[in-house]
Amino acid sequence: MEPFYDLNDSITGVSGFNGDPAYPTKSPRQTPPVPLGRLGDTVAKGFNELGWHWWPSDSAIISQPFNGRKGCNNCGPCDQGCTIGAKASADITHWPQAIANGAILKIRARVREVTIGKDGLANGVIYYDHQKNIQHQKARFVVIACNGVGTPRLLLNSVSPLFPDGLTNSSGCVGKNLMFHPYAMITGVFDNNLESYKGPNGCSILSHEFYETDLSRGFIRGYSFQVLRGSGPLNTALGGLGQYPVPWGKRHRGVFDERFGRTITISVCGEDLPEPHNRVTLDPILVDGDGIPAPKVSYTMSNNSLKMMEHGANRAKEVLEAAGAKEVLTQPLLRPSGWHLMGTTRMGLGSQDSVVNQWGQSHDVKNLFIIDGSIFITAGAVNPTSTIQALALYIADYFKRQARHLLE
Amino acid sequence: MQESSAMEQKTNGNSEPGSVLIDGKLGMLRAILDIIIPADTGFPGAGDLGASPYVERNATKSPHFTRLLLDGLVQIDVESYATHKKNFTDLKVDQKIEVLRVVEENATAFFELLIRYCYNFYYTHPKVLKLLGLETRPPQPKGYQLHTIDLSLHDKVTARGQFYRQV
Repeated sequence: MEPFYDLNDSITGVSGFNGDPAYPTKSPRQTPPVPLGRLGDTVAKGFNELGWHWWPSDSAIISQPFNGRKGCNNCGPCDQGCTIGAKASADITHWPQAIANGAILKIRARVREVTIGKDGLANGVIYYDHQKNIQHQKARFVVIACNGVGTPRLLLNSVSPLFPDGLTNSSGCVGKNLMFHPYAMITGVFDNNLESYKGPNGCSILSHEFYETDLSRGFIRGYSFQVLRGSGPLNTALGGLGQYPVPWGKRHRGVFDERFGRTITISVCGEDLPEPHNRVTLDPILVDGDGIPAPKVSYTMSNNSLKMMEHGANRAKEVLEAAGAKEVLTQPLLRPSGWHLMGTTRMGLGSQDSVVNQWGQSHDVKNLFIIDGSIFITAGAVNPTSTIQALALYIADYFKRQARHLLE
Repeated sequence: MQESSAMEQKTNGNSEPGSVLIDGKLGMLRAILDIIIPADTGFPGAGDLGASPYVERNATKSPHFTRLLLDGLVQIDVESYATHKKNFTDLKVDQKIEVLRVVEENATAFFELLIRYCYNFYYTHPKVLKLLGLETRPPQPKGYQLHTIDLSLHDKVTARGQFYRQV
């Protein structure tokens, strides 16, 4: 996979600093790491005080001009959209190349189902176009990339006599083994003005100190720490990343002034385990604007993940206190944190317990491929996008080399 | 005719076309917002800063919030009379806080929206941003300057050697 991670990084533009002992040697990063400022200095000293691993995180945010895009100038609100193109997203990194090479992009369209011919092969998709007219796009091969909720939803909606339980679902695995990354948010409040609202608001420093399994902790697998920037004034008042609103009333001014620019948040990103009861099905009643059955997500956090989050929250508190925090606010489980969606059409060797093979090719339908997080077997404890994209390139490369033989 | 005009003047004295608050309710809202974010150490209270017309304007955009706002203000009035036999605006500060705490517990949806719109107005107001020492400008195109980390801080980490599991 390494050449495909490298290829993806060269398309995306990644800032970073090689030498992290938690990884094998990587190819050179495209740009230097994003600056960490006083926040980085402060929290790094906390990790060093404890002798724990930390490193400036690779970021899909270029720190200098790259491929015609401007470098980041630390304005802060990355998740509201990067107006200067420093933050990577597929519309500015991969899509322009794909379109230049002949791909046709149809926007404001919604696929309803994948269609199957009598020969058991996929022969296209039915979709609603931008004018809400129904269309059938014929195809010799169909590639799905709707991720951990959208892909099983599409497959479960693609019912036919050959696949009464949903397309490519002979294993019964479509929709099952949904994995999130549970997150805890631990925020340290410091006396010094760290100007923590400055800088890209995603991960600045990463720690793998507790990544691997250590049974003495009472759970299997582990988590990463991702050190996050602070918030601007409004988001600080509303509660910031950890959702601790500044109280109204007499204490308002004092609490606000204590927090604004003076917080460091450590998020704990936990590795969920694949469990069949965590799943995506079709809602029996709810539909979208085109009448397509909506997904229903059923998820219960495992005891393993709960113990992991508790351990991570306590360790994160230790780091912040070692770094000099005078107060630590704990959000042990961030309720709206189900944003990494994995596992629901997982890879495997056979159709008895998996949906696709190691090339993302459906066991049941030879000309159907899936190239998103739903094919993950395990979740890891880091953000999945880089791996999803590298896998997509890996599978695309296989497809390109083998297309003539795939239906034999 | 004169009597009718006098009645109209009394009820519409502080309202504009499209308003939902009349009969002094806008003034009451202002008093509430001055308790939510009170004046303190040179910072103005939210009501004094002008948050009440903003809150009312947002209420007019949503029938749901209109109802929440009107019901919430009535509850504040009811609680003020029930506990202190006075209008909210005539209460002392601690009494106002007491009343609002009760309503916060009993009318959670209303109170959460009130807080959100009050904070939204206050912490995007140029006067407050200046008092916080911030430039009153959008984040782009200037962005911010940040220094890079002291590279010697890495030494302790790299000294540990390989930290990944070979498979």
